[in-house]
Amino acid sequence: MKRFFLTVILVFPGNVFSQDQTDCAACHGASGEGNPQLGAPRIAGQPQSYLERQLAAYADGRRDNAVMAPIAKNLPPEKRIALAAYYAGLSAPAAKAEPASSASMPRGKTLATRGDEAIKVQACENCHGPGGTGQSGLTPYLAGLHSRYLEAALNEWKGGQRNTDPSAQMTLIGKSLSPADIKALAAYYGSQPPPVNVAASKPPPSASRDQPTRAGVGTTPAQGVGASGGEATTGGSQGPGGGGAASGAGASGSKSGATP
Amino acid sequence: MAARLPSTDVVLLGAGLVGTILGRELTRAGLNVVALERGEPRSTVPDFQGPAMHDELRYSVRKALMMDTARETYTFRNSGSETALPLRRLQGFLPGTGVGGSLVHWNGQTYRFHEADFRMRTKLDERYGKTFLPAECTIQDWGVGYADLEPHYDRFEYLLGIAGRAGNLLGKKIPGGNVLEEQRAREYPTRPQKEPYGSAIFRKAAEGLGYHPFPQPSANMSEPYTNPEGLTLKTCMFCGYCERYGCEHYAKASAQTVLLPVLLKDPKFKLRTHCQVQKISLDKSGRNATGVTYVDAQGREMEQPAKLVIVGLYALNNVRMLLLSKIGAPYDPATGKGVVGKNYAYQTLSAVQVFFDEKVNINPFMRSGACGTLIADFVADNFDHAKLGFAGGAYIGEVMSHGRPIEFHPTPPGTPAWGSEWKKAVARHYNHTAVLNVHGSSIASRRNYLDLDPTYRDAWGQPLLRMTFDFPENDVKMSAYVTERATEIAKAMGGQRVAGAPRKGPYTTTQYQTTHNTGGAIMGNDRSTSVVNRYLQSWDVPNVFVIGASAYPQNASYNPTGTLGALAYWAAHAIVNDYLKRPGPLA
Repeated sequence: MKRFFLTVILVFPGNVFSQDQTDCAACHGASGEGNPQLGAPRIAGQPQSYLERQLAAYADGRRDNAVMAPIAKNLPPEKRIALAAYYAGLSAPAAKAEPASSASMPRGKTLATRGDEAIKVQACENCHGPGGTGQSGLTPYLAGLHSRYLEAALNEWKGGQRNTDPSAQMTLIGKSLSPADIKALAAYYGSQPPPVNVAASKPPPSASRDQPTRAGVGTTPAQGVGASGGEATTGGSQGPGGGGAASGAGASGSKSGATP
Repeated sequence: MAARLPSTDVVLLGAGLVGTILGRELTRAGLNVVALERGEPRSTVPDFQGPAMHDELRYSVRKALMMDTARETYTFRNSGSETALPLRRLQGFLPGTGVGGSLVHWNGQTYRFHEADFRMRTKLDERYGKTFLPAECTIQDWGVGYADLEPHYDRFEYLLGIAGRAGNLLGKKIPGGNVLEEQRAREYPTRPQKEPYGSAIFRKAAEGLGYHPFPQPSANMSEPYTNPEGLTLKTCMFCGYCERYGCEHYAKASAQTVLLPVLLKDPKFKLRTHCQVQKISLDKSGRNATGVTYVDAQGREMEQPAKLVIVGLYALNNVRMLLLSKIGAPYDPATGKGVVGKNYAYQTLSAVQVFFDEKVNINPFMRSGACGTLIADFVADNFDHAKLGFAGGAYIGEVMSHGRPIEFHPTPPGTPAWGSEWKKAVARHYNHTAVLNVHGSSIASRRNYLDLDPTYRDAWGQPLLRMTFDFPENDVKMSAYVTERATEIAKAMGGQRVAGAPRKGPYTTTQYQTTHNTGGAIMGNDRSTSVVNRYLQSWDVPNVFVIGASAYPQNASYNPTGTLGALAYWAAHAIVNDYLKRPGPLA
């Protein structure tokens, strides 16, 4: 049903719904490619659930933004969902941005991929995925978002204008980053290519709330051997209760796993 | 010939939980402290960062954070009549190595023991009579009581920021917390972690059967927390890679997150890594330690003189260090005489799986190391043992810590162990299975002990520690009884099928059970039956303190780390307030 609805509005951009889209497009671009001059981020291919949550947060004030708040407040929840689904399914190339200063790039890369023990900040990629391509429908991609937006977003976390992370991880991270760190991170991710939205050619993602799978992720984890290097992968944690029990794998001692 | 280094006030053996707590307390008291760690230095950044940290093959299967068995290991046998063989791969339990020790890779399940645990012998005799247990059970009192340790439990929990809910606040019972716990002076520092779905199903079923479920006390943070050292922990992200892994998010309490950043800035504290301590040196009287000898990363033998020696290694290695250094009389199982190596105990675990239909999504991957819900109704002496014929008990909980792809493949009994049917069954049940853990005590038995192996040696030529252990009859009975109760709860959870079985012998080290090895350097008030006094001080060499789960005369139902932290603060308090003023025996 929803799929049909979206198809209709895409084909006939004259109805009420398309007016909202046109509103979005005014800043975020016709295909959600973003507008660096206006500070509007690329939203094409962001996880649907992420976009929905942002619209809800703009509407209820957890994300304090003078431009987005009135727009989000005027959108009924079902329109927010439809818009989020629509932009999650797009794969526009990122809008051209001014190349960021390369001087801070190494610092940005370090923070993104490694973190910094001195300020107790973990690598962005733990949650935002290898290459900053986003993860599991939960975290947005950062790669290819223009640096002006990224800097503003990190400053929102740092300054408390953004309270959309119930764990407060992002708030603490934002507060730990210096203004120079924020600029460096924004420059680094702004210079990275946005992730390929491999699901964009498939049916509109409104049928599923999952984030499309992303391709092109390319970091190789360190391949060390541990205390039992070279061991076959038949771990000792099988059997009833194997794996998921506490204290590691609290496998039961029975041979057969027979129910007592 | 060892190179002799300048003397220091204190030498710490091991830079794990004990080493960092004692390091902090003793430098604070103005002492110069040298910590010797056999493993590598490491910190949250860069060593624990993703995506590399979520390499299950490297960390879970190949055990990257654990003791290197190519250099040193233990030998094992089930009984004194067998020849022990070395554990060439770690499977049954996982001693950590490196800065932070096992606190880096632990799950964070943080409990307090009961008064009935600390005075187990006295309490059992009083309640059930002196002939209740066979003479083979060498259960002893600890020499300390819960009231002695309460302030130190409190301090440890506030250092770590434990997430939990009090059930007994100064005697006031609070439903929703553990109403069966000993009374605590104040609430946990942080609120409990979120309850996973499977745990919620367990809670309802347990409540329906009249039990008292409560959230598991967790060293994985439920919210940001700044500890008394001024260090801030962040919120756990439920990534499912906790035990066997370091935490990338600064969200699990470990030496790295709660103490080391402060300690490493202290000029009185010196940390040396890749130092393999060979022995504690004694003077001619044999009553006074003069320091330690170690081999450094370049293979050089070094002598570190010190006025005070703190042994804070993994429990088994504490015992080995005493035996190698000839401190205390080794235990002889034939006569029951001697103390070092005596009362080695473990933990008695079993599990019950609940297989749900496909509408019930358990999401086992979305877990922390210490989330979930459990009951303490069958812990310690919380229930009447008179007609049961065993001592001890177990908690029952839906406290799954992960659903990692290599390790977690729940399938119902009758499923082939491999092939397409097995694959189908794993796909069918992976997201629809809850596991109940039955985490039980381990009593001391005359036949279970530790000594030096007569045959096998480590890479430095020193004898390995030999473990002789099998589950005592008492614990097999206990497991049978409590696992039956767990099965009843499992059935009440509404699954299609329930599968589980109690723990039975023989004990095998090839199947992971738990890393909770205890005893061998036990504490007590009688020097003829214990290795260290109630302040963890060697009876024989008063300037040596041996702190660890090695001090437990027998192991309790709960996970041991909370008590270990309390004992570390308890011993530190005695050293700072009494020993330093009058060096010599404290008891």
